[in-house]
Amino acid sequence: MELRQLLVLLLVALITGALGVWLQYSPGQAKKHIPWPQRAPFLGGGQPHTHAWTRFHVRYYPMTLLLIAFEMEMMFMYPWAVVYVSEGLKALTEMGMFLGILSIGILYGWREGAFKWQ
Amino acid sequence: MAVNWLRKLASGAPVPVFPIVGRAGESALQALYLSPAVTVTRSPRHARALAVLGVIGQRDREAFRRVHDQVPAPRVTFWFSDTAIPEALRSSVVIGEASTDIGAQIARAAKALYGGQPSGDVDMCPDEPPAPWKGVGDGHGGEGMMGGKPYGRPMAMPEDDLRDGLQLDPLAFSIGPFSPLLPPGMVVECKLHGDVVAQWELVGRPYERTLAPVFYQALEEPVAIADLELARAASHLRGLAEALQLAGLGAYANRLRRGAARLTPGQSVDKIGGSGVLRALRWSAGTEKGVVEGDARVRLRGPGARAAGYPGDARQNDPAYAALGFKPVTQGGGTCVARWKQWIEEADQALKLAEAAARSQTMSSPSGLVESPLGPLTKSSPLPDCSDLIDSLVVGLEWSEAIAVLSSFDLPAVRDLDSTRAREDAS
Repeated sequence: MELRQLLVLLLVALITGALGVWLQYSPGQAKKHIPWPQRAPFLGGGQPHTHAWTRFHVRYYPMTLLLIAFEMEMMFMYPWAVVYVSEGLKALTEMGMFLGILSIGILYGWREGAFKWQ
Repeated sequence: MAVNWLRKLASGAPVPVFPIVGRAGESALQALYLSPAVTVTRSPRHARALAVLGVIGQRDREAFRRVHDQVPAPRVTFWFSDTAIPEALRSSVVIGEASTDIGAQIARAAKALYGGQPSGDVDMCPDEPPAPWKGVGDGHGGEGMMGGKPYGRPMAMPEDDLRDGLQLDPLAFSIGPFSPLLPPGMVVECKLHGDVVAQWELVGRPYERTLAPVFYQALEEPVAIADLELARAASHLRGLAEALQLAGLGAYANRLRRGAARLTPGQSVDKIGGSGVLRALRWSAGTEKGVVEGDARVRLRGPGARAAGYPGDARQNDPAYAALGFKPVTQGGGTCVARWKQWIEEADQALKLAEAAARSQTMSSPSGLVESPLGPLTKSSPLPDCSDLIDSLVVGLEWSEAIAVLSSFDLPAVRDLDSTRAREDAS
């Protein structure tokens, strides 16, 4: 049964692939040639001076810091909520320390402009 | 069969046209915007036809060739210009007539092209890489990692980023003279750090602007103040339409352009453009940027200077305006949004003045000085270009903010009376 299903899947994959190859290379469909002037970026008659392979900073580090800070909080607070009733004040203190350390990261992210909408 | 059917459908749709706006081509561009037979595109890639409007200077011929070839073939070029037609296009170009609807003429020519009548324009640039790389060095034509030339273009050399000094690669390019983001004719050498403008150097000034004939006429003889003010309101509304277009609100921009083309005294700008739409401009990028201060306010002249709190307006010296109770509108701050607000309020004021002037048949008092929509106009000294003011205002802004700031100014010089008259005589 499983072999038959696999064969059907294989057949579907083969037909899809063949159709794609036929559409791409079928005779009578001349490959459209894009002239070089049309491959250049449109700059209203201007031209790029350097190659487009440039490295620029995407500047997501402060945002990543925030994500990790909040995600870690939630990750540990769920199991902590389970043991809080049995552990009591000790669990509360430990979680307070943990959140205190994480909030330093959040404050740092705030200073770096992570909350600024751009 | 299916192709013929598709072709028939395509020929019924408005023709996408990319305008090449040269000197004195503004009125033809507005006519193109208002024509239902065509849609004006912001890029040649989306166009099927090219419309050359106004005179293209010798400086910009090479740029014209590049933009022409960026319209996908088969294309038709429509010539509504005194510029000599390039040799390569002589047999295929469609020469337009000033007297009839430009859009309809383009649509007719494009439909003939869809029907397979002419073959369309030939390319003007050679079909070869602008920066050859095949067979040069190894791999992608590189000559090393840093400073190499992959695909024929040099790699950018790292430099200190504007914001925090990180060593990153700038993207350097020239833009214009036919970019819809800049005033027609303006050429800028630009350098971007990511999306932040790190350098903006003006290398080609925009073409001079031709004002409505009533402003030149008012320099020499009394004209109806209603006509002057309607022309002023129309000019400001067209400026706002361009800002809306850049904000991605093309349909609202066209609505404003249509309103500007048939203004009547006493209309309200809010009703023409939609008060919500015009107010929404304040939420676009860069509204609080591009602050004009100090001496730049005086150089900027006109509504731009008044938006920065400088109350200079030549209409104050005209007793006819004083009789109508005219007082110049000003804003504070000199920001991008203050300049847009200035256009809206001045257009509103102009329509009210036009109503009062039409009721009392008030004529202007010619004194050789007229307040045009761009600033004070005299016979002896036409308004100079001040597009170099932008250079320092946009550095440090994100690209979208810089373009919004640019759209809030009216920077080009104004054509003088004599050259305008010479053109009218020639036509």
